[in-house]
Amino acid sequence: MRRAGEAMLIAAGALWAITLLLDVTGIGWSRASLLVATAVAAIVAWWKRPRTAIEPAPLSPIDLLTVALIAGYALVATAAAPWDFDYLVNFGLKARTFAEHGGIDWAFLRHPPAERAVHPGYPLLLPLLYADVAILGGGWTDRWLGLVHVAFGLALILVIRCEWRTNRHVAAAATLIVAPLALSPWVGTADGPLLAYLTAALLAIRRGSLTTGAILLGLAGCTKNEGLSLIVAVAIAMIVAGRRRELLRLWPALAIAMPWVVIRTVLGIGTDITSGSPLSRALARLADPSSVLGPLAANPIGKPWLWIGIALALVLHRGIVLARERFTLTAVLVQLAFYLGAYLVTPHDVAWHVQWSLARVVSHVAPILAVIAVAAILEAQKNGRLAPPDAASNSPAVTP
Amino acid sequence: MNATRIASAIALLMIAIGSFEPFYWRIFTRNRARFHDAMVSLPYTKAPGLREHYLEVRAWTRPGERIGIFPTHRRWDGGYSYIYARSLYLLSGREVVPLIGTDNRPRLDQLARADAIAVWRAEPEGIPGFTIARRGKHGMLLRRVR
Repeated sequence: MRRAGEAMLIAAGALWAITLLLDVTGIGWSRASLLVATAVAAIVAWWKRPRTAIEPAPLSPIDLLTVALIAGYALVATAAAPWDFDYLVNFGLKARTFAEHGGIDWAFLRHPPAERAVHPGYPLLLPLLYADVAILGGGWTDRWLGLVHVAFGLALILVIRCEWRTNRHVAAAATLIVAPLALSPWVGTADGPLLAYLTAALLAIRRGSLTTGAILLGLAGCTKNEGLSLIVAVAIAMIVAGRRRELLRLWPALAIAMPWVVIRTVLGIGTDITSGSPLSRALARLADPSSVLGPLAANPIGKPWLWIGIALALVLHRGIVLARERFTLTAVLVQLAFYLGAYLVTPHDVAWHVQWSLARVVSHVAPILAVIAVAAILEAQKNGRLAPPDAASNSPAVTP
Repeated sequence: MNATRIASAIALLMIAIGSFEPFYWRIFTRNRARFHDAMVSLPYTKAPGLREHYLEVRAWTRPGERIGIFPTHRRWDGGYSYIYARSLYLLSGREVVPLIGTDNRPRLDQLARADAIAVWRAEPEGIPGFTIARRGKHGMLLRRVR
């Protein structure tokens, strides 16, 4: 089940890479070129698949509730074409522009109609996945793009379902509790795909599956700029957790994420957050911390019950958390520090930036924090036990 | 049951309540057609008819044309950025240009470059060099006189 979830996430990344390569190599976008390249990639992936035996995770009747939850999310996500503002001016706009252009419209990215809204420097994973739907469908269509988001949520839930080392009913119940956090309400933006990659990457690296984790980490970096900062956060967390020797094994993350950074630098595609003088903006705001802390305090960060519950669990079981979750917790804290840093250097009005982004960016780390908190509670209650973070095991963590 | 166990149970309950998304369950009982219509019009609720107007403008224009968005609202932050931003997706493939700047001043340079002007819920009087080409329920399209 976990392998299926990770495979779905990596397959989406492979599709993005194929679409990007078809464009930059000059082969071009067509139904035939996309299908042939995808078929070749699928055959290679099948050939190179891990040969270890796969034991299906034992299911529980409680899993039916999670299936119903996913079905409900699918009904919401596909009620209409994505309607989020960021879809209309950013992710969807780019996808539609590229699809109608017949490839990535680099001139559009270099000279966007409204730079502040369009964010030309954002990585292109989600817009290219949307464009793939148009390539395969023979023309732009946005009616069912919500299914892309359902697939990301489903993939993450499959991964989370195998994270609990406890009996199948408790594992199913724990998954049901955390599952809504994997189903991002921001349909049409890259926040759902990013939280899926972020959570799956941290969980993989936490259990010692470094290659898988590094690939997922790299794909997070291809989804949103926050994914690029996550690579740095993970590196710092590995040092803090005493896993310095494993750092080099994260090279796939850089190999996957850096090409876009190079491309946008070479082509002069702007990123608004670093425009002008970020240092002077940061210094000015540090001199007046209330300019950032005020908006942060004034805006909701999602669901207070969730955060209080997570904080309570982490404090109650700090011994377990500090012993087992040093890597994960450090990665999350450093990532949140990057988010705070973004507010310090933003060229926009801080209050405006915080108002329109805080709940979304905090949602990126909600699933992983909830998994840590619930796992700590289960561990402490002796109903189950977490897989040791350094145990590089591919065997299912759930026992019947 | 000791205090830690009780506190743990409370924490778990709070996480469950906090992560719960009632709408993903309520959707099963909602009228799907009505919900579809509401979501389609959601991004345009502050500008009735804007979506239909831009769809008409899209049908009246060709890819590659430069289309100015008429300042029905005269201030960038007083409504103009709302109608301008929402034109980008529905008029993709065209070059959509704003006709006022963020400082609320007219962008005559953009007007000079425009092939057409999309006018939503307004009756502009005599824009030099442009004439009414099409009329719709919620607006019109002005075209440059060649």
